[in-house]
Amino acid sequence: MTITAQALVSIIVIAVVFNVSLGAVAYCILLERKICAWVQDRIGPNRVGPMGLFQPLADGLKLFLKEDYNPGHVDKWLFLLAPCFVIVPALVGWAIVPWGGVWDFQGFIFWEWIPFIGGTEVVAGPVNVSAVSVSIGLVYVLAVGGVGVYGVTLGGWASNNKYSFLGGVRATAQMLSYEIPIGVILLVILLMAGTLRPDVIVQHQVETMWNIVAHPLAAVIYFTAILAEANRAPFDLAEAEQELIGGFHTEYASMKWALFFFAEYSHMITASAIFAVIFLGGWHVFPFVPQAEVSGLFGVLLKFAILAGKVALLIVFMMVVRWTLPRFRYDQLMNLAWKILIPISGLLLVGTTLMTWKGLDQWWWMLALNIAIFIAVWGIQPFVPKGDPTNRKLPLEGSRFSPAE
Amino acid sequence: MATTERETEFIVPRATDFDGQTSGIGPHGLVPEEQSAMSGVELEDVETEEMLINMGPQHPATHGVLRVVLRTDGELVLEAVPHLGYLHRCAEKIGENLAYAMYVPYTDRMDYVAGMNENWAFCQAVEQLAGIQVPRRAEFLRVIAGELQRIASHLVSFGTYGLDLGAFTPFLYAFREREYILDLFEMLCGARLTYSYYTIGGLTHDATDDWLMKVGEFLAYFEPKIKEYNALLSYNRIFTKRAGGVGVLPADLAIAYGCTGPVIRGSGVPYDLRRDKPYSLYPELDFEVCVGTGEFGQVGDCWDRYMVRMKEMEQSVRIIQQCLKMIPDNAEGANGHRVKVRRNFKVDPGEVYLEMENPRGVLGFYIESQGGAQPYRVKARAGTFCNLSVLPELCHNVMLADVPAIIGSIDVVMGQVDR
Amino acid sequence: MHVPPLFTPLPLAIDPVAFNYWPIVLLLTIAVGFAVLVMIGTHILGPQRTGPEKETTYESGVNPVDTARKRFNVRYYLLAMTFLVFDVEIIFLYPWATTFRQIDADSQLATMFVCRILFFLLTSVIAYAYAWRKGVFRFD
Repeated sequence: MTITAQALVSIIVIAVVFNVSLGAVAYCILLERKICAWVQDRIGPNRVGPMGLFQPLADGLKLFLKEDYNPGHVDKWLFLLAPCFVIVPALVGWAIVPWGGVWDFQGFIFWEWIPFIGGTEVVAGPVNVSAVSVSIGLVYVLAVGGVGVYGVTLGGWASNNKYSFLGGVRATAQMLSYEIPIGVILLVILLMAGTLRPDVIVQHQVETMWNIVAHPLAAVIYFTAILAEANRAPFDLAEAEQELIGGFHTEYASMKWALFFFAEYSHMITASAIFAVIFLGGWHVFPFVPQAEVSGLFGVLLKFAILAGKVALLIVFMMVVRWTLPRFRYDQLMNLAWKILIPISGLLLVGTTLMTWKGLDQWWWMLALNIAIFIAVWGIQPFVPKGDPTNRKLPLEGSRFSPAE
Repeated sequence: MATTERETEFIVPRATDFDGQTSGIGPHGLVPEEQSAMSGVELEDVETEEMLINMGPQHPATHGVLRVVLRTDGELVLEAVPHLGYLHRCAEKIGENLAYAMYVPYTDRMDYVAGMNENWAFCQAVEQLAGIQVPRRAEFLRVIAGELQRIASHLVSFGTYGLDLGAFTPFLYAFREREYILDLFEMLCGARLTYSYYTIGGLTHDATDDWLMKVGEFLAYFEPKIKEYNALLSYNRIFTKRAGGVGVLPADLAIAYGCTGPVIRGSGVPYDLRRDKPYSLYPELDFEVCVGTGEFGQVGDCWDRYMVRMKEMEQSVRIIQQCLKMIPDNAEGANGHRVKVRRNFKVDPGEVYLEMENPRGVLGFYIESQGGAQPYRVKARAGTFCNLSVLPELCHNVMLADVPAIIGSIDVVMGQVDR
Repeated sequence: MHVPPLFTPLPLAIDPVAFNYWPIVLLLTIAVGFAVLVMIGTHILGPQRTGPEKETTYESGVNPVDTARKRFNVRYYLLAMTFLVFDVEIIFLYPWATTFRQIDADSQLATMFVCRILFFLLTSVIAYAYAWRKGVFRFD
């Protein structure tokens, strides 16, 4: 029996990254609390274990032992389905992330004494160190991101609670709206790289320049959009405590609630990994500096470590953002998506198309394009008709203060 | 789904649309008769329905147990009706059964965020009624404690306002500084929240020189922090977009509703009792009355009301610094901080109404005595109650997220609203 | 003698390219299994104490009035429809964006491609302007 090296690597990557990401999610929560404490001049969790390191375990245990509570007024099946629909896309989203680049795999045969797979020959060949090596690549990201909306919507609807319902509707509108800038920015990156395969996109960046340097505007738009997609502050309107109690998960308890919570952090990891791959040059350490290729397993691990480091930095940045900024209002959020991000990303797409067509696809030309679009948008900003800055107070019949004219 | 008849009658705001027309989109599905009467109407089949949302009493953003019933259409709030009374403790009625000095701790519980000022207003009213003259050093200490309390109260307001708009961090910064002030109060009188520090005829304890020095240290520490918080929150672009131009309270409306304190000053009316109807030592002190400027929208928006508080903290620092320089030594004797008043002193028949500028607006105490050790009637005119009454006016056609912003900018403390 | 087989294997016509996706199926299975296991686990481990008060909807501490299942404002639907238009358009652009670099930039084919794509984008701009005009993007 023979299997391809890719199959073996896929299984290993799935086994490793799935568990690592679950652990990382748990420790992201601790990290979030620690960073929050650091930002807010507090100590943070420090009771369970040294420096509070066992806090996630204690939290998980507590959540498992809490009552699994299904309120009587909910739509039961949808209510149960919603957390699954949230967590599954969040957990499978990283499948295409090229964690370790291409590995020239030496074939070998499993020892005979291993049960089931003993004697299986693993064929040598170059493999992609990612969970799945398929040509659709980034389309998968979009597809999985699209499924993520369902859970939130279902959760809000099934709860039969007004806050949940409004939170679910808000989240749906928000996630839908921010998928468009993500799609358009990915198109821009595709035009640069000419492929959907994330490992080739990374290779393209290694050979030319990081996309964040070539397309800073696109990177900013993309980062904003992934914050919104992951329902992170300042875009956490779906669970805006001050307005909607808990938003779409108001009625959820115990691990069902924790799955929503898990999904948010899982989303952060996935989104950061994809951002690192398409904008931060994946496993490339410094822009402008060519990097020696390390081959073999050590090289794969090194690349994985570099990418994981970038992901960690992005996550920390997201957390600091969360604890610094106030929340947007719904209309501001939607205006940001539809009236600012989508037109600008459309301009970027058209500009990149034309410049690629004219052969001006070097990174400095793209940088110039980004700067030009930024200046143009900034320049026309004062001339864009502004809405009434005040809340529209409708005239009242017979009022002294706001009389009907 | 227990829609009892009582509940329905109680909370449903009648649907008169604000543009003066009957919208026809009343709150269907509420009253069964109404629903059946409307079922034949074809227009109803395509119309969207309004939703009644309860904000409170158990809600994270309503600053205690305020309950606001919102009539919403999607994200748009058409009408907001506040419902009060969830924290009513008959504070005024209790006053009729207690000696004057015994009522002081009850005033703490009204505006529990600014207990010192509540004490002060009541004590000064009784002193005016009974004709008691407070020693000068006590007046200074009263101003210092009162202004420190104003800073502490505005800090809470600043922190929770950030919280209302989704910024969590300023809240903890605010509480860190407030903790400093509470420590000072603890040194002063042993209590951290409900002080009863002011008593009729002066103060319960004198302050040591060490304490006054510590106050000076605190002011030196705190003054630059205000600028820091302005940079962190007040001039944050998201914050100015969220608070600026939202919940505009015109000056005439504010006056008509009897709004006071930062709410009316935010609307551009420079009305501050410390200057306009001076009491205690305020005529001798130099400070400014801060008003809203409409920097990020219109005069009288949430940002102005918020910013007035930030500016007032600076003014309070100024006032305390002056007091620390001017305060006389405790040379006149051991009891320089109070005059002796008998515990169950009797007051001649008469009445008094004394107003004071509290952090949340004017707090007035009306006390009527018919001779005897207990007042015949105690009535508190709570600033927050009048300020809150303007909420339905402000919440016409705002976004759902603006409602916490408006409530937060009015800065209610339900203890004082309900008393 | 020809013995007919006991069963005929199903004509599993799995495209070899599609077969490359099996790790995603594996990952999906693991993720779904994780979610289901967690939910079953908490159901078994947690206590079950219910009551009439607990069963009611949370409505800030008062008896719930009215239902949440209402015909709510239509502008969310409009937004969702507009999203569909744009999202489908974006997906249409992906094959073009992937292959565009492979075409010789000087060739007439490239010019034609660019013109077509720009025309296609123009149609979506018209749709965008129409939606804006119709007030789809008014959120307050």
